[in-house]
Amino acid sequence: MIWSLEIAKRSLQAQMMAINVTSHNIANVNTPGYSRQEAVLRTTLPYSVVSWLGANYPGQVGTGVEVSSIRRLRNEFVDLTYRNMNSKYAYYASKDQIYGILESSINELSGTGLQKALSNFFEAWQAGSLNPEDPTVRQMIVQQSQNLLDAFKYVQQQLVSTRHDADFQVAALVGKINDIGYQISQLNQQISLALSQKQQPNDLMDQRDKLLDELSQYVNVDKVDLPSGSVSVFIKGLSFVDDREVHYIKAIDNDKISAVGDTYEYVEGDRTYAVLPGLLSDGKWNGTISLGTADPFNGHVATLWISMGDTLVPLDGAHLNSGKLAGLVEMRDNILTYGSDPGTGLLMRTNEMAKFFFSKINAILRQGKDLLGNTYVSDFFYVDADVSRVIANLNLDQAVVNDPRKVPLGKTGAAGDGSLALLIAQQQNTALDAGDAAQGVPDYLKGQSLPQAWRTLVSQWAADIGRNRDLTQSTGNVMKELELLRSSESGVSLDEEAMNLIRFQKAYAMTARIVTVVDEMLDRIINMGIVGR
Amino acid sequence: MRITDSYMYERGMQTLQTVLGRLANLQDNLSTGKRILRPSDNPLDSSLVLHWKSYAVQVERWQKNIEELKNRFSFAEQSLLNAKDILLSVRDVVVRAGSDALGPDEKGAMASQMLQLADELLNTLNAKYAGRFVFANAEVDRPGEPQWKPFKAAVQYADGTVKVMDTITAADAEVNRNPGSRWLVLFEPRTFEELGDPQQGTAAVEIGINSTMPQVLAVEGFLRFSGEVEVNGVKHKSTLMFDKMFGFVAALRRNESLATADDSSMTPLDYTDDMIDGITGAVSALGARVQRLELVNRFYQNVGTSVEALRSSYEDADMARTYVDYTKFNTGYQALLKVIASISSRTLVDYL
Repeated sequence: MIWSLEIAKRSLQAQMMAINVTSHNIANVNTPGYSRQEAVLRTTLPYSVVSWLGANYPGQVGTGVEVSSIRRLRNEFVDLTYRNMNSKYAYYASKDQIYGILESSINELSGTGLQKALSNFFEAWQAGSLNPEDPTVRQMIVQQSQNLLDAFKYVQQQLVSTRHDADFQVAALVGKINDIGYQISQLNQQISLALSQKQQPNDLMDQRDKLLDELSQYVNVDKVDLPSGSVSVFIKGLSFVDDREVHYIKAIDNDKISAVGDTYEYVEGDRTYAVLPGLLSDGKWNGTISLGTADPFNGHVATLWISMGDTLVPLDGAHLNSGKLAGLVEMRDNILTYGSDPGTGLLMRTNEMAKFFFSKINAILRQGKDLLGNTYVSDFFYVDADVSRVIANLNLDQAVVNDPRKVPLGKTGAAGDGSLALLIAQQQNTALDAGDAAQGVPDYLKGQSLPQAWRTLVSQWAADIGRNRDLTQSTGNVMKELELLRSSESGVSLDEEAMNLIRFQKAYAMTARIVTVVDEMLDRIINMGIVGR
Repeated sequence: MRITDSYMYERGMQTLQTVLGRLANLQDNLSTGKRILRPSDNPLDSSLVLHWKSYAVQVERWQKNIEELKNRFSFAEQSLLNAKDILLSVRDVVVRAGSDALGPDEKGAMASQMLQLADELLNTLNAKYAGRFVFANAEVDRPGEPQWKPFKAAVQYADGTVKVMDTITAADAEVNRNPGSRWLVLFEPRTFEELGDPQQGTAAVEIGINSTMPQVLAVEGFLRFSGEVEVNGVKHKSTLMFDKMFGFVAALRRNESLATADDSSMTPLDYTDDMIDGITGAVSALGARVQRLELVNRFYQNVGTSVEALRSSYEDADMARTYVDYTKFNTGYQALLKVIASISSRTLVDYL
């Protein structure tokens, strides 16, 4: 009977523990990243009775129940798939966000963009061909030329501003990523310590998994489990978190890294970092960003490195293939600036268009004379020789702005001669590479007038935005499904927990009844009285 | 599959967001009337919309050019018809002056009439439309010299020197004071030969893609010139028509008949008819241009309508269909809200 009391005690403890686990689940029903837990009940070791009855004895006697462990219900495979998809989704979503900002500010369909400025520009020159001697028309030509410059500058300003935002986000994100890396290393320490003491740190592991989820949103990560319970985190082969050590990512302005002999170095306070040689092509980070010199559009942009001691290893396109960081770098360096695929390299392409178009206009106007009879020898538009600075330095001949009579609208300079104005108006439908201007015109501009080339760029760019939006949506849908799968596997069901609560409560109550019954039985035995009385 | 509370919450939110997103898009379409709001909504159609919008602006510009040219040519036509009327009056004088029955007084009166007609003809050739000379080839105006005219009355003295006068009447008076001199009308030629324009070096205006039309009627096309005269270092051409009129006036004053043929077997009447033919030819040429412009203009009026229809077909929303879609999704949204509300409010605890 005393043994039954011992079994009841074990049961009371186990049911109570199970109720505690259920309570923890209910309490965390809305906690992000929480995985439901389960008290794993098992029978305690049975007791074998040594008896003279030998083989006729019924067998081992059960000794009750115990909680063998508190299990975290989580599917590692779903976690891995979720993180991969999270990286992809964040990559497309970050691009979609930047595209969205840019498309709102440069919306050609709104009727106020570069296309409209070009139409107005050509219309003014048409009017110039009709009434070349009219001062109002000449003033209009000057104004519409200025408006066209402003439209180009506005486009460039929006592209540069968006690039600046992307660059700012890159630098800010690095801080977050490093912070997560540090927290993972700290959790590694606590988890391995708990496991060494035979404790199951479920909540700490949940926290670490949540951090890995968040990290996968920012950068593509691979997790490697270590025997101690710690994890190491790699960014496509580059070690980021090595158990308790973090190799911090550094975002360094490209102009702060200086060339020293065949390699590059970066000085931070008293410490000098050397770039691991042989990993940069043409002295450019990620093959596009020149080091040790100012960036032509933004002054400077952040380059990414992983610091290993005093050595810097470039964290570039070879390692960043998904995640928000990769999306931002892709937007900043490829799509907005230097890309060579259709719909990319917007800044360089817009500058190239401006260069060939305005140079052509200059060449046409240099054939003519102004209304005062002077041969026009200036550049109507100032076009910088450096293609990346064409729009930034684009300007109208000040002499023409001050006195529109100096606009050379005809070859003869006579009042009725609008022959050059006509030639310029006809550029609306003339290919940029037609005539003498063919030299140096890149293939993607050949056979197209400037309005056509701009429309092509806009449509290619829009197609890229649409494609990216579709991918954002499709990866987002997969993400949602995976989130639902996770919720199904690891989420807390209040109905289920209510059932568990009833189940364990009933078991607890029944066990208490055993104690009462045994107590009564003992009472009967103890208080039986004296035999024969 | 286990259906947990977070599963239900996330699924509910996802569905709500999807339907709300669709509703927001339809609302944008309804409020703007556009099917495509950003190029990325439909890159191919957006490109076509941009193309048609740009083309519509061009068409509108060509129509403005055509309208302006038509007005100019109509004015030039009126001026030439006026010149023709004057020449018909000259012809009338020449016919009457061919009679030997007329006395010196009558012939003197006719000479005076001829002078007045010559002055009027000169004024007609110097006609201006909207501040520009109509018959000046390229040099339609000279803002720095307000007194400048393409056709100038002048006196050529016996020693060959030339003096520009205000009118032919004034020039005639000067001629009368200086025996051996003559009056003439000089044209300062400014053709744009350097433009390589096949249409006699006049500046052209665009009336379509790679389609241009000269914006002035070249004077050389309907007037003939007798020779070059230099005035202040600038070469001028002497107008044959006025040379002949000077000859008529001089002959009448000399009491001669205007019926006599010259060495070329041409009588004054032949010359006058020749002048009238030249003007009539110019009127026909202008008429042909105006007719072409009207045809092109009608074409562009149709094109403008088609372009707008094309743009609209790519860009504008079908409002009825959009509103039906909006109503459909809105109804779905309301139903979804009710379903989520009824599921979320119940747990097992409510029944214990």
